[in-house]
Amino acid sequence: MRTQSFINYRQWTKRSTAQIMLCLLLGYSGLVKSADSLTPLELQGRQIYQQGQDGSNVTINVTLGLSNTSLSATRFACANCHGAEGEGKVEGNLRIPPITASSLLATTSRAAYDDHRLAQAISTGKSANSLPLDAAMPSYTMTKPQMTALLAYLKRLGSAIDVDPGINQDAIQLGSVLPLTGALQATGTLLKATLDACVAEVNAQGLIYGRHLSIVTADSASTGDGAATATQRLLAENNTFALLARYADDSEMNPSRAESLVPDIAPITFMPKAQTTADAARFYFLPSYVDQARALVDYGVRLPEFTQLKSKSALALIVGEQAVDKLTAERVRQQAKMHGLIIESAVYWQTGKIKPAVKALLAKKPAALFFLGNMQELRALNTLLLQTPQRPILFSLMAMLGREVLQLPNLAFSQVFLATPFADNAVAAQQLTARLKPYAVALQNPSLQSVMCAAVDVVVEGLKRSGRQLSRLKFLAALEGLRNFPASFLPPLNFSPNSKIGVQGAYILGINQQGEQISQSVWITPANAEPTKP
Amino acid sequence: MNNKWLKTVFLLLGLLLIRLEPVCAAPSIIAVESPIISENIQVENQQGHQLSFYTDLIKNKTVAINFIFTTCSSSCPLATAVFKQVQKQLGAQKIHLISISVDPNTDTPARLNTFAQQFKTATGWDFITGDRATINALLQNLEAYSADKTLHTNMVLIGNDKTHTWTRLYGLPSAEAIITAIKQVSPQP
Ligand code: HEC
Repeated sequence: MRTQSFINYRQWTKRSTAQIMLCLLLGYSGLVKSADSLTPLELQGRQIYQQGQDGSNVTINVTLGLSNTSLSATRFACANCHGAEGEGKVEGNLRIPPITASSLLATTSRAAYDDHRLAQAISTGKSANSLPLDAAMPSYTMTKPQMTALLAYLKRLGSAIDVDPGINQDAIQLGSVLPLTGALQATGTLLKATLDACVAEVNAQGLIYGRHLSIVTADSASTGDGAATATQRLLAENNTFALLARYADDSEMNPSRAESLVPDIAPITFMPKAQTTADAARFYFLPSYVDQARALVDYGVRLPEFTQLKSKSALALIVGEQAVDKLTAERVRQQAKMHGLIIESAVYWQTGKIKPAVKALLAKKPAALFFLGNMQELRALNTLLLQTPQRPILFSLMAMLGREVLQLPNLAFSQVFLATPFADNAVAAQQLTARLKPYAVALQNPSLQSVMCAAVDVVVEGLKRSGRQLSRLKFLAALEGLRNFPASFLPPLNFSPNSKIGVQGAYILGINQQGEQISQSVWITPANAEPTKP
Repeated sequence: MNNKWLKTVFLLLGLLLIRLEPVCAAPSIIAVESPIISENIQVENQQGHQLSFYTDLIKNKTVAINFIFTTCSSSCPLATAVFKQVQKQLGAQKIHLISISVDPNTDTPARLNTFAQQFKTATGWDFITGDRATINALLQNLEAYSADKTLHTNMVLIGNDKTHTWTRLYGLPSAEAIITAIKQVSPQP
């Protein structure tokens, strides 16, 4: 599928302040508004209940009766013990009571709680009868306004209006962030149309537990800052159940702690964040640059062309100017070393000074170049090479170069091997075309368009598995159970509590000197000798 | 043999005496027979190091063992915070801490490492996982096996391999109770 086009991902980082929009252009295609919903105060309390913090920089601490230590409350959120709906539970021989409004008012085993007694229980661990509670119940230190918010929320805990944002009787609202204006406007508009089409298709097929889907797409104005602002604004509206297929910038992938529980499905990035607890709500569909590059190394060292040349200068590394290039290069070195190959020659790109450095490198006549940089840098390298008789093999990543690499006139390489997560799959292309046709959306950027629809498919599956009593926590748990979920041009997705990156590795495309694709490898999952950090 | 019996009685008395303050329902305290741990049980710690459970972690040491899993949100963070306090108060020379995952399928070394780092654990504290069958066998050796991980009994096993003195604290014992028990099982200077 030579027409498969891919956004040159690097354009994204070029920021233009002029493009940062003052007001958000929200493409509403249906709005979920519920008259009976939690007040801002109650929502603050809800966040304290669920996460042990309220997104402000005033941290809440706990003192544990069992160890007389003070710790951050984020590890000891009420919901962890008393449950998302205040239902309580038994874990081992630890019995945790329900604390819904009705159970706190019950007087079977002690006096009823009022606000004063409740605040006392939370901050000093004393029951409504002023007797010490079991030491497993922590004592919380929080400000007065935080306590007010928490108490306000406890009155709503587990009630019909105590639902996550974006859930209504008859609708679930999703949010996306795409470049609808600016340099990537054309792509962004196409992707929005695709996303809307796939959502419309779901709604045409029927309701999910009586609810339809609606989607709001905010404009990133084609900049990283714009994407961050748009995401924040979307979430501040408190009407988005989950984010999906958000066009994210590398530098913007670290949302504030406040958002850590918002499901974030298929963010378009090749730099997935390390999986900490705060990232637990993010499910990536695309493999990292690092894993794609490592798969490429595994493939490269097995090539017959390559095994013959195990001389030390056989493989040289050329690394672009961006930080991610350097990071990826480091992992390429490690991966090569794992196969017994020490990469000795390497050039780090420096605009203006690159010519002599590359010339010195080429003087060593490397048989192959591993190139980690952008298309502009590759073009410059190609020009330099054309002035020499050398025609080395090139290894690189499609996601770094963009589709343009295939249109390069006068390739100065004997062969090119490109890692890409997207397969050349005629059946998948046909299916996607058929899905989009009723909505008059053409297949112009199959890879990214397929991610849009796969994101919708995954959301629908997660919603179906969560049941009618929907919550973000249930939804996230359902997604953690997805195995072998079909995703069009990508290999099937697999998630688990340990892995939120759906696919790891790459296909390797072989390109001849005429720029024609002559081979596509099977999916390669990079071999692991992950150094464990002490 | 008499000697051992006497020691057990003293241990029992000692442990009962020190739990006077009525902060919480006192965990039941009993002195127990040394667990019989097969020498060829191979496990992995949070750094991914292969260890022989007996030789590397128990032999000639004073140890406190608890049972956790990283997706358990209520009692496990509590039990871990308590161990952290024990480590802080006693120092790694006096006590070797062991947290065994009762959910080895999910709890990879990397996952245990992340969990451990959240509590800023110091060296002298191993988080243990391994293949399901091995861990189950180990849990059975330690009498801590339960088919359903969410029903795992909160228990801390404290002992000294040299003196063959062991005890179990049931429930969620406080740091203080654990420290006192550790002092009881440690060889007297
Ligand atoms: C680590 C687990 C844990 C966390 C976290 C926790 N609790 Fe508790 N809580 C308990 C246990 C266990 C009890 C039962 C104490 C007892 O039976 O004496 C309890 C009891 C209570 C009670 C008394 C219920 C009654 O019927 O008397 C209230 C109220 C309460 N918790 C509120 C909260 C709130 C609010 C938070 C968060 C700010 C919170 N708890 C966090 C474990 C926890």
